[in-house]
Amino acid sequence: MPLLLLLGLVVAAVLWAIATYNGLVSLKNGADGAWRQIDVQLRRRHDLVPNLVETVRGAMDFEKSTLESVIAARARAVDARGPAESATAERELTSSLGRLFAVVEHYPDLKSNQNILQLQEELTNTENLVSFARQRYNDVAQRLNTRREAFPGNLIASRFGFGAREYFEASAVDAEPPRVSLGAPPAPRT
Amino acid sequence: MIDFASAAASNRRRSGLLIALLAFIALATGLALDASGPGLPLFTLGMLGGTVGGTLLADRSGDAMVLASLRARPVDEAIPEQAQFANLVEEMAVSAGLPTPRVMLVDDPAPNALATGRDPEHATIAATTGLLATLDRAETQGVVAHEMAHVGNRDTRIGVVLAVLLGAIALVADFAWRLGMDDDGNDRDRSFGPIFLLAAALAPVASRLVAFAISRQREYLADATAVELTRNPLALASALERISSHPRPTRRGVQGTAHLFFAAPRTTWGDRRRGWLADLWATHPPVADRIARLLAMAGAGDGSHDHA
Repeated sequence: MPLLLLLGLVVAAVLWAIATYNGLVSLKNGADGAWRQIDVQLRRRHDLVPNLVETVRGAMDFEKSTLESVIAARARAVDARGPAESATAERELTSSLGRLFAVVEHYPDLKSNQNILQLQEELTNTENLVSFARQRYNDVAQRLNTRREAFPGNLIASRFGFGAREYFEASAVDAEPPRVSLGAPPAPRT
Repeated sequence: MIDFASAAASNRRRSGLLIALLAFIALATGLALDASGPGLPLFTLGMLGGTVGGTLLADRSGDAMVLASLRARPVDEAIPEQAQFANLVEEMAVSAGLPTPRVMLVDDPAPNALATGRDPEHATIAATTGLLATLDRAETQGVVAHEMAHVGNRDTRIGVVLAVLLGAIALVADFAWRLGMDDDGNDRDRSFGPIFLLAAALAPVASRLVAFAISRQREYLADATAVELTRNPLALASALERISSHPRPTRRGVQGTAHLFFAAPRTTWGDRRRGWLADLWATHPPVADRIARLLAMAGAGDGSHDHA
């Protein structure tokens, strides 16, 4: 009888271990997927920038330095290797884009230009996608870290090498506040 | 921190109970009708067939039926507002870690939105032209987040099945009622007794009370999940405020689909009034309560990022 009980406990323990392991795998894959999503969105932003520059270039000839800094920032972001370098370059790109659109506000022709409005929306969209992709990654990373640190998950996690995940800290990524105002949204029609 | 898994799991449990309850109501009604009506077990069989058939049909193509009934159409990305709406759906999909749903539009000046689909891989989010014209980017983002939350919490699947089931029960009960009453509104002869009429009258009532209670809980959960997606409760509260005070509320809608919308359409009695009885009968929680909960989240939170 006690042998049966012991057997039952062992089986239960094994089943629990399997379930916990699978849960960790699921979270790990979720975190990897979320990380890749960030990359996808950053690349998408790199692709949009040349289009934007060409659209404004004609009308903003004497704002050369602003345009130049956008082009340069984009080049650095594309060439960046490694998370630290990439984070800095992406931050620079965000800042230079913000400055560009602040300048656009002073050109009435450009402000109401349909192409500009469309690009503004696309860039707002892309900034948000990067931001939400990071937010999602942080959420999954947090769940993963909690699961691997808390008892009894920590027993499984250390044995099978589920490493801790770093977060995107707001302070590390954005020197400026996370608010990106790339122009006013379309006015609501009544 | 969004954990769709646990919300979805608890929804599955409650949905299972709900479907069982509705099936019970349907069958009990069928039996009552048959017991006091004509000899053949027509109504029991009818209810049985209707429930099973309806559930299967709804599960497979329910969302297509709902969207068709609203005459929903795909967005035109050449129109800036609609392109923005499609962008917002994509943003919320990324935030939720789910596939991007299909995006559609309903021509209606009344601002509203809805989500349908059996699972996140086959989901659709639609908004009215009125909503796109009324709300700003952040508010629309909040509404889209709410709909995305329904998709992630697996509310959309049960919602559509519910719509079809309620419709089927109402249909059979209505048929039974007409059988039992002649054209002048008097009882026909004794083959259809009072129990028959009572059963016919109560079936839709009982089924709706059950359905609406679950629907209200779902709305609160969707609001909370939406805030986790956007980290911006104030925008959603503002959207609710604007929609509920809009001079043209949604009046169109097939019976039984009210719970699929973001804001309660004025198609059922409970959604047109306040008061404890109307609240029981409402498909959505009162707007004031929803806004209050959102404002409470804003107060307790660590500050929102402006992602719009």
